[in-house]
Amino acid sequence: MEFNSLIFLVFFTIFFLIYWALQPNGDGRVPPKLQLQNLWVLAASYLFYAWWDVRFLGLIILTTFSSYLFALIGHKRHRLLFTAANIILNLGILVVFKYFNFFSENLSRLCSVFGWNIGWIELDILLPVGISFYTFQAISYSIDTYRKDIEPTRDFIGFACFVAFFPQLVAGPIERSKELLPQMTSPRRWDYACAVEGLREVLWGLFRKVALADTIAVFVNHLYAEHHSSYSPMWGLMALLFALQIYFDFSGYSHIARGIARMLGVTLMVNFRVPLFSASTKEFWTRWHISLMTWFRDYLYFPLGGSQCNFSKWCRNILIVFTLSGLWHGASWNFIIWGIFLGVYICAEKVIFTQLKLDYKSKSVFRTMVTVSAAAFGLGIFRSQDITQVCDVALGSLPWLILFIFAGTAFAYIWQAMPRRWRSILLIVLLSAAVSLYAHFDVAEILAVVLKSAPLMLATLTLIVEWHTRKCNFALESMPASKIKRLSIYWILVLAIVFSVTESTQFIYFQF
Amino acid sequence: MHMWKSITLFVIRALLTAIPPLAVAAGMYIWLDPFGILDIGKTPSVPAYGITSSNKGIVSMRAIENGYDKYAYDSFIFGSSISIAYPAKEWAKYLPPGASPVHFDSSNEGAGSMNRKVQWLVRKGMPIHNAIVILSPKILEAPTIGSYIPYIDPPGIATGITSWWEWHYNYFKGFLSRDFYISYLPYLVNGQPVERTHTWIFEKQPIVYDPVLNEETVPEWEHTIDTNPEDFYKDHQLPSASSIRPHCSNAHRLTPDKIEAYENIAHIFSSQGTDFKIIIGPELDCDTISLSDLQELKRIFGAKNVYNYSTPTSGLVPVYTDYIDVRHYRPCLAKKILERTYKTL
Repeated sequence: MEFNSLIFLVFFTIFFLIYWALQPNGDGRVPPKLQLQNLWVLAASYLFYAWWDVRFLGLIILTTFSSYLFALIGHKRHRLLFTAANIILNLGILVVFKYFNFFSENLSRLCSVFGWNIGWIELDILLPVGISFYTFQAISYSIDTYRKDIEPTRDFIGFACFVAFFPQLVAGPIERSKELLPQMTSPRRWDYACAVEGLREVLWGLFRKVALADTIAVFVNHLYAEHHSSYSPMWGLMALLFALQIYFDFSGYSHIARGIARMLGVTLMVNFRVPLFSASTKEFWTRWHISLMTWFRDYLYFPLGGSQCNFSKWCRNILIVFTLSGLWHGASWNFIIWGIFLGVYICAEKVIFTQLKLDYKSKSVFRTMVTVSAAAFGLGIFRSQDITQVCDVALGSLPWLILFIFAGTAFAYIWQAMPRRWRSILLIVLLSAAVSLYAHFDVAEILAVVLKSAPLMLATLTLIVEWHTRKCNFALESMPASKIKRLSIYWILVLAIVFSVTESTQFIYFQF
Repeated sequence: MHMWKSITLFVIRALLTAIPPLAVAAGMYIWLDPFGILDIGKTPSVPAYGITSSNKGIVSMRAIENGYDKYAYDSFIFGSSISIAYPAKEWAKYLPPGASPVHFDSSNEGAGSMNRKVQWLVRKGMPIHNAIVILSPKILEAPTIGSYIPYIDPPGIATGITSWWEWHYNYFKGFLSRDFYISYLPYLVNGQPVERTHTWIFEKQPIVYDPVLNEETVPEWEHTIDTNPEDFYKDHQLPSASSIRPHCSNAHRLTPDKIEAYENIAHIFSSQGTDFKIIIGPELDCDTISLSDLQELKRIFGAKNVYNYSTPTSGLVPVYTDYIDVRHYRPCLAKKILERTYKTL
């Protein structure tokens, strides 16, 4: 059941009305009505999850039971033992369902290099949707209780809701028990302003997913399916467009998840904070998929020593974190190579910044262009189907991305040098002239060119809006006071969504 | 404010905000009727060179509804677009005097759609005295329920309370699809397809349509192939001559749902005393029906009613100029097939 489907609209409308009908009074205890409301959340979450495949439910229920029980038992004695047991069990499930065939196949290949032809087992199993997300969320609970950051909860239904809360179940944000669990075990309050803000965020997320990501996907899929010559600029375009597609897709999902939760009186963490305007890759990864990166930071990077160690150990820590985060995305070499690339790049970036005495906090257009190009380069690898395509994309896109850095920087400086009031007019005139020339001044042809390139224009406009609203959690958080202006914005977004139906509708991150 | 009052206000405001843009989209759809399916009672036209998204299922259904009183159709050519190759007048030569043939085809018609059409005729009280069912190895793969808009059955042929909703929802979604309007809007402005747009929504064949027989012909193409085949095939990519090799597919294309649909058709034919033939036509790439599927069809319809021309033993040697593309053969080959089918009697 996709967020951008009609069936979800029906599901959520029914769920929403019954959810608030079961609203408890909130007298401090866990009142029977909260249990009833949570039971309703749990039933809806399991239905939502079972919509993909009812067999997936068994795993999530197992993860819920083990995490709940081991935390409670371990709280009394053998805390380390029970925490480790739960982590091993959950990671074991993840490994079997997600990585077993990958490791088995690669071990088999390795053995055949040495002349040992061993018939490795291959499991014929489905990869449960969102398994990496809820497994990491459950593990975070185990570690938090072990560290005594939180007390293990006795409210099983509330805990099950924490693991399976449907808005963030299949693609995050990966919530922390400290933040989400208390919201699940205590009464939520209806707040009109919060619900309106939630609905706005849903609208913003849907716009990003349907009107931007899905329409850009048409270009990306077309480019990836075509064969390009070694020096074709299409390689650079492919990488840049895919970076835009996955950004709008995943951030769109996160906004919808946050918006839905907000309408239910629950606050989820912000998962993206305008990453495409970062001045370094290090900064980029504090703004992109924040919930995953902070998970790795808190539960892996810090325990490894973080940055409180010498440079070589820091590099090792960074490489471990990013390689594992690559592996987290999928059992495939392109993800691992992507992770290693990011780790190496961040280490190299640190060396350059130290040598040139650059400040991480200071912004510059050139550095932003370098960061975006590095991200696009990495994501080009991420999108590749096999090692051959990884090499093709890497070699093919690199010169064009370097050109993009210099062209983009030059454009930005010319833009800044122009008189402020003439900038937009000049740009529109230049664009119109280019389109008209290209379409031989034929109205129907001009319309065709404009319609075909509309997703890219919309994406550019969205990025400009993002820059101007970068201090907000999402662009529609602060709206104009005028009702007419607000309505106009809503209607433009709804129309853009309605007129952007494409075949590609599944969120990219569901596969992880 | 009381919680429920506040929630009601929230829901109403959300609806009021969402409805105007949706109403604009729905209004445009109704006003433009881009697929020619909303004007109920009228036979949607099959344009010579324009939007192809007209669903042949609804064209066929309305043509038969509109012409039945006058022409008393009793002989039906069922099948996909491949069946267009069979001229109704040519088939009439093999039918008893007074028979009134008509095409009852739809795009990519598989067992499910054909079964629903036969049942529709029964519901309408239209007798089926004669029938030919045009199949091909590839068409046996067609799903029993089409999801792509040219393939879905119109309400009436598709029954059930959701059929009307599904039909219009799919078409409305088709209208809103970016791929559609980036071709359609410039077409509206220009009055003809614009080169720089995707052109999949435009019919490439200069079709001539006969509403009495519900028959589509492409005389311009026929003429080009007859007089200058090189020119024609230059624009229509066909497999190379060396790649045309008979290959018997072992794939079981007849799934249980398709078998059930064919059994229903056979049952209706039997109960009406229909004189029918099941013709499995050839394909240029020599794709053949599997033996098990052929036996299944013979079991369902009776061995004497099933004619397989997809295998090399049928004696039909693949000739380029008998085909428009890999799957669609020309009337000249269809005439030969009809002749062989009825000669064997």
